[in-house]
Amino acid sequence: MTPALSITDLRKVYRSGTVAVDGLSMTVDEGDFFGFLGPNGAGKSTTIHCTTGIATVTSGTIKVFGVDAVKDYRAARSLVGLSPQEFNVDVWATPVQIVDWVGGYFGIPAAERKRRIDELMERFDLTQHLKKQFRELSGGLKRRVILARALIHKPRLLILDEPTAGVDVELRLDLWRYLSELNRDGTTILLTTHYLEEVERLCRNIAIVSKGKIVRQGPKDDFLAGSGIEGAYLAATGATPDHIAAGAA
Amino acid sequence: MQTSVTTPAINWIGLWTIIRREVQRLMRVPIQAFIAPWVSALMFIFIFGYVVGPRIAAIAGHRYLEFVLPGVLMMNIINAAFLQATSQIYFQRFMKYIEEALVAQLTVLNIFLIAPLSFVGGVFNTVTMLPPFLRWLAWGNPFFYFINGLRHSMIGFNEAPEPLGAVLSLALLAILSIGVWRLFSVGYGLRE
Repeated sequence: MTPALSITDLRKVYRSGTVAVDGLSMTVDEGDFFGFLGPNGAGKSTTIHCTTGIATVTSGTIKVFGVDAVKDYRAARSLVGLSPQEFNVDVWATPVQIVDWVGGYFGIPAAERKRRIDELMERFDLTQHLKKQFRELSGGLKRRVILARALIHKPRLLILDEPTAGVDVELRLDLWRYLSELNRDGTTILLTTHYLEEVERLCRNIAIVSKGKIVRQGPKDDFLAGSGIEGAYLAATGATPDHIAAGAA
Repeated sequence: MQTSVTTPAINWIGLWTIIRREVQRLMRVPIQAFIAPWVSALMFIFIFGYVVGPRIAAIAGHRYLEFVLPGVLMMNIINAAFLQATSQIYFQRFMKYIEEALVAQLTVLNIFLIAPLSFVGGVFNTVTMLPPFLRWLAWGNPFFYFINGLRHSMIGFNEAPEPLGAVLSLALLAILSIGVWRLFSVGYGLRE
């Protein structure tokens, strides 16, 4: 079976000379719920940007369901839904406009777009806020709009870059439930987060990235069988609990 | 259950979405989009029509106000078009939502020749009023042909044949469109 995402020897050096990703390789199988973990600045967002065509690739290959995301990033991007870390929207636009415009960029016809928007607004409890501008929404509602936008074209691979940052407990639980349902229905999900509880609850496979390289990758159960996800994370990134305790002292 | 997303040679729905989005945005800023250009045009008309105009001799039988009006109108159209487009692209880049438009096969351009080209394009004077060594700036200036065409349609006065202006304007449009399309295709300035 063609993997949902296959990255081989990805290297990304920015014009400033910063090596953000340095020989990263990983595979996400179709249907997987994949946790992509690492400290800030480890290269997670850059890897996502390279996958979605926002950043160019210095060397290496990226394939999304077999489509070359380096050579034909638009074709690959049409298979991917992206919920970025930042709220990159026109803040004076309404939720419907934000979702509708992206649906239009993907070439979805108006009638189908309308149906899909109604469905997403309903699903994310945004129907009470349709006429509000994005800037008037709470943090949790803003996150829902971004998720709705990522799902407008029913992507086969959904990439979530810290989707629950700044979200209240209620929405977080609701989001987890919705993501599980999506995954059950066949959407492959790549999740980056700093909430390890989220990874433990949702993901089946995990990769930990540090300094632009994958330092550990495998099924979640393997992580749990050892020192747990937190222990594995701290060990893999070179920051053991003792190390942290010593730093705090 | 998945929606199949086709990538046509030209994404007409994407193109229409960008036009629709821009119109919706313009409607949110009516003063900036519609009132400001009018105020600017009226100020020019007042100064050149009623303050300076009466002291200037008629041009080809037309009062100076009649002569300058089409030029001022075209200058404001060009300025408004340029400012709206560039400010929006800047804002989209700043807020990063231009990244979303990268999936559509479309737009970006950068110039800073608008004001000088407008002023030597015959807004306030005929080409023959310019010193001979500066006249080539008018003949080679696309804005001159825009103004010349509008002026001819309004008062019947022209300094260059309209078909020539139309051909040059269309050629310029084609060249710039290809340039913009190429820039956006490679994500110039958008993808690092």
